[in-house]
Amino acid sequence: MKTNIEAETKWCHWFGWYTEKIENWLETQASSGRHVVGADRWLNRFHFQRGKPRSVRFYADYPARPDDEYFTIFEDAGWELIAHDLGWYIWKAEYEGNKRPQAINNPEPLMERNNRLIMMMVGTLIGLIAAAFAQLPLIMKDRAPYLKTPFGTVFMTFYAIVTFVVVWALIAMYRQNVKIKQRL
Amino acid sequence: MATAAPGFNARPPHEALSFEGRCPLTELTEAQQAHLPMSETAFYILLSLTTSNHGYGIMQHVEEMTEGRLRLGPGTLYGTLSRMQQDNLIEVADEKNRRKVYNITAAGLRVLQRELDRLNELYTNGIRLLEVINQ
Repeated sequence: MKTNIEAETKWCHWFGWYTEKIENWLETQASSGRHVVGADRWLNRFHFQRGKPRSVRFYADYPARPDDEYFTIFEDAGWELIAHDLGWYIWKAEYEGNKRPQAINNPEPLMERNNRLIMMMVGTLIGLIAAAFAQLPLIMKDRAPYLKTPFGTVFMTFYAIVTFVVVWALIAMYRQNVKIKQRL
Repeated sequence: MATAAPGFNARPPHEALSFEGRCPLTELTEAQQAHLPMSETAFYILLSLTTSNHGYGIMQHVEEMTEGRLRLGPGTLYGTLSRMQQDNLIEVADEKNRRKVYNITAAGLRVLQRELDRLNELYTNGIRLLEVINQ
């Protein structure tokens, strides 16, 4: 059966310490008639259906251990889950007249979210440093010839990029928490 | 949206609801003391639970108490309830239709009492000094 619903796919890259980017981007899409129906690729690729422009608020959340109660409270309050992956949940709620729905009343939940992400990043960084130290004796004794091969070069480049991103993320989240604290 | 389960708000207040004098801080654990001073949202959530209620019921009750001024966001409500439950300021009394029904605990009442004492001091000093200025 043919339908008149136009489907569209768009990419939007965002980071956990700057969720306003994805929230505002999705809101802009909805106001121009693109309504998100799902997301994949680590919540970077979004699927839309065309319709009438609507005012919709989005909220990207990273709850600690979401149980039934988490979903019930959001749904009872009129929020609808549109996608989730890697511990992230993206919710939407329609405006009530001109009133923009609020998922949080104060910035403390954002600080708690950042602290959870910081802990995760610190764990990753410790793992990366431990892996490097494990290789160090082999490198010093020239017993790691595989690192001199093209594969080794690619691996080392990948390792350096991942380490850089983790350190960058840690600094970004720490700086955001400092800003939030100053506002409190 | 769900409607508040009938009877929740009609229940009698928590049996232990009696404030007699100032509550010493020593009766509270460090985690419980960390809730003080309370944010407006946390205060109203705890105050609302002097009568058994579920998450959405708390939202409605707080909105009603503040005549529509304060509408709790689900993110704030869920986070606050989780923290309060973890620190034993509230407890789950029942679970109906995937909804937990919460009650304030004796420790929650002590925290509420401390916060009321603080607010009362703010109010009393504010009024006293403003009266002096206005004279």
